[in-house]
Amino acid sequence: MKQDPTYIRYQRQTILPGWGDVAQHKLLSASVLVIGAGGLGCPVLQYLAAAGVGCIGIADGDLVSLTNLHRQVLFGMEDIGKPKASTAALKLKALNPNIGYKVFDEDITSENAINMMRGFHLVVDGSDNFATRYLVNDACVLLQIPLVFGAISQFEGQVAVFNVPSVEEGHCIQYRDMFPQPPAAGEVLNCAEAGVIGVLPGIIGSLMANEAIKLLSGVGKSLSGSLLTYHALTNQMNTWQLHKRSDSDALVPKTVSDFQNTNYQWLCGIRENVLELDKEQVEEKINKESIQLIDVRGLQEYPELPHWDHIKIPMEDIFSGVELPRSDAFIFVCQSGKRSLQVATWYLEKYKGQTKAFSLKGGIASLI
Amino acid sequence: MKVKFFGQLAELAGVASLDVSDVDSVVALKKWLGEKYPSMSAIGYMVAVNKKMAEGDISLSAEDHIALMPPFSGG
Repeated sequence: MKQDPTYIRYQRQTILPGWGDVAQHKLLSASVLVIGAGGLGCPVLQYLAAAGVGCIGIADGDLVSLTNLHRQVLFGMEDIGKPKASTAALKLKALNPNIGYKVFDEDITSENAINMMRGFHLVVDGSDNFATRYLVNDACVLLQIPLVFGAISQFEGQVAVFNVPSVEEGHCIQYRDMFPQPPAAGEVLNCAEAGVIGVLPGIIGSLMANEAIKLLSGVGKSLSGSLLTYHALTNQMNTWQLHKRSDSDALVPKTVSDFQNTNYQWLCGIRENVLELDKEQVEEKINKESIQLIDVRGLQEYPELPHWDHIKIPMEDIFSGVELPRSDAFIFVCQSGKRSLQVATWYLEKYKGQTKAFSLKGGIASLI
Repeated sequence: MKVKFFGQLAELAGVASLDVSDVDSVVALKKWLGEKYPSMSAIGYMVAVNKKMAEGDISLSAEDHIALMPPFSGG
């Protein structure tokens, strides 16, 4: 019995103190959905497959590109242009053909997330954008599935375990306890914009795989309730004790249908193109709709906005809660179009689209 | 008190950490930082005081170690 290939494959971890057949059996009976087969997803997938997690789901709608290869170590030159999820599954089957794989060659969305996640014991988030991170968090809260979270930026990484009930406190910490609302587009850069050192997702992804294996096997103490951070240039590793916010659970959609109707791309500010109007579009709107133009520059700033009727309310006043006049829609303007876009984005987020808000592209400078 | 910046906040501050005096609460610290580094106020960061996440306004003393952690999205 002890000589069968399954036993031999996992023998080096089965003989560990506190592991044994019991922990190995727990892993073999477990299922994990890994979101993103990128820099973090690759090491997570490799170690979970190697360790013998019984069923591994892989969700990624992206294709392998040359810029991925410095960190996405499951892929080679021959994979460029191929779908990441099914290509990763092929490599993992070569590593461990004795476990099951479920491949989703598509991005997770609020429409498909519930069906995709249902039935998995654990979700691991190695995605690369805030829209997906908030979507995955909210779906895990709704479905009460534990979530291993990892994220990177340049030389630094974060790891956390969410949605595991705390024995002492009785509640579950989730991503929105750390960051209640998504940042607006452009506030925080991603890997494509900010760069990333290739070995960092290897380190952070390995820490994530370790958390997943501890949770599933029941061996060791999980990171639940803490945030772990690592800096690759200084080797500083810290853990921060997290705290349950009073309002975080209220920010998650209450029902599956509320969740499916939530536009996470929109919440994360990915809408600049629809928000910005040029001079002709502004003219058209003024002629057709009841719309209020607001100059958000400081009261001393010149030149005056030409042609159009408008009022002046500086950006700082809007942010600090000054009430705007009643209108079906607002067009915000400033000198270059940057502050007005910030105000329009902020306004839409705050009022969740009850009133339309736009920004004059290029600002007053484009009119003169 | 010692204020340590993480991620993009360190880039915005131009330093990894700062010694700050004359602030006595988390809200006052955030306001002070927002005045010194205006672009910092646009980023919703987490504040940790002595390695524990702080919610809302809590008072600070000179011996406290503060960490400011922005969200990371990369993967």
